[in-house]
Amino acid sequence: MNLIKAILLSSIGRKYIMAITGVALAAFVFVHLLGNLQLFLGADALNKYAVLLKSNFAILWGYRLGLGTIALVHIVVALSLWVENRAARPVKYVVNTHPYADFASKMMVLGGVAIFFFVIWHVLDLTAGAVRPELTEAKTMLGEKEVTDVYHVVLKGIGHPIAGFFYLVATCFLALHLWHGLESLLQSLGLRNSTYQLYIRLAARAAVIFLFAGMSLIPIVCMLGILK
Amino acid sequence: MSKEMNLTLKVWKQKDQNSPGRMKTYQAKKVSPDMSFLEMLDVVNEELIHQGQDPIAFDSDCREGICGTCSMVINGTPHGPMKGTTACELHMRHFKDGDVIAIEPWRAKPFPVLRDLITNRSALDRIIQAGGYISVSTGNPADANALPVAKKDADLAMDAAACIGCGACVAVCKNASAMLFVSAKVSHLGLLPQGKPERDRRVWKMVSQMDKEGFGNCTNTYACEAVCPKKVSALFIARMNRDYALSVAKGQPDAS
Repeated sequence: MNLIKAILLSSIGRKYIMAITGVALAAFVFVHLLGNLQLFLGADALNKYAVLLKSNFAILWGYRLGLGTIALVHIVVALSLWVENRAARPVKYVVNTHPYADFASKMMVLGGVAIFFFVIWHVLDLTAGAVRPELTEAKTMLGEKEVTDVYHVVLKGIGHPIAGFFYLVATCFLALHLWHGLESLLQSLGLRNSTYQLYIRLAARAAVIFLFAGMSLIPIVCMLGILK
Repeated sequence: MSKEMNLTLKVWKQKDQNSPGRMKTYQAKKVSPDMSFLEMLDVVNEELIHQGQDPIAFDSDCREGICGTCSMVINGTPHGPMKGTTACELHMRHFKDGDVIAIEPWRAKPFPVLRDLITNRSALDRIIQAGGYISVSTGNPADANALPVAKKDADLAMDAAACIGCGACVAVCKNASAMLFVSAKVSHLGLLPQGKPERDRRVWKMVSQMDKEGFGNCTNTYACEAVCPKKVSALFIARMNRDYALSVAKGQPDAS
């Protein structure tokens, strides 16, 4: 009971949950990006990777359910904190611009909501094929086997100007979310101190810049039709 | 002789805790640049009293930046535009003739406005009562140097102890979180040998009380350290987050 009270009901405990689920989600995002950058190694490389990911039903669905649960916990706890934060100042300032909180930190909730809706659309469109079924029906030969042409799915799916634009916007929201989140989570977990604070900031920002560059490169390349 | 200024003040007026408030405009005439911000308000109030009007109610005590009583948000910043100073230490020379200055009380649910700029900050006292102390068995005073304290720890504890409990951190925080205040108090005792025996229990109890009072949650914007008149570092918040985790991990938070 103590532990539940200390973690689930306290302000600091719920920040631990935000930080730990945040690390897991950010780790997924980085792995997802690295995997998809194989786009630049050609159709066979990406299709082989796609086959590997889907090769074991139990691992695939275990992974999906685990990730979904982590995302759900991150969202539910974030909302509970947000409701309390709003309630903590019932009368607003007449003159207030929050000059000391940076833009990224003020965009956490709005950006999180934007990312949530983007992810739903992204999964329905490119994974489930519910939005544009013709995309995911394309097949190709990988050696002797007929497989889904994921290379084609990415090129055509993200290469569509409207879809590509949404990918770029979502990338901006995600980068902004992590710009604050990656550094902030170490503070929440109590791992930031005077010795490491500079390195933590530099490492977090370098990671976000890499992520932003990689994630915006894919839609840009697809939209410009550079890859065939 | 420095030039006198005429200023327009927009001040939050509120009759009592249960009445709605609103901004009211006042003219501050012939303000000397050598006055402190509170002296300027004193002069305005003298004038208001002479005219038979209701003076602007505000909190003040030591007027030398050590008591933490003065509490006003000046143009959107707690304690005004100068870094590392309280409102009572803020000189009028930092303003220009003709300036419009907005003055509001601390705004947070745990700090109800009692009148105009005066808020009830006893929520912070209750957090201290929950664990911001050390238990001392009475007897003869111990020799001052009998307990060795590393210089580094003594300095860090002093940095945390600089907190005057004014509540500016709560006032500026977009979530009205009291984490900087609580972390300063937790750290300043926890760093010293006298505070070590109760370290785990203290952080647990003070954080529990903080949550009970209805303060918001920390989103690590570090706005608090930016406006803190004593420049208490937000790294103390990281330290408290660490202490809290250890306290919970040891599984004895509720034991007294």
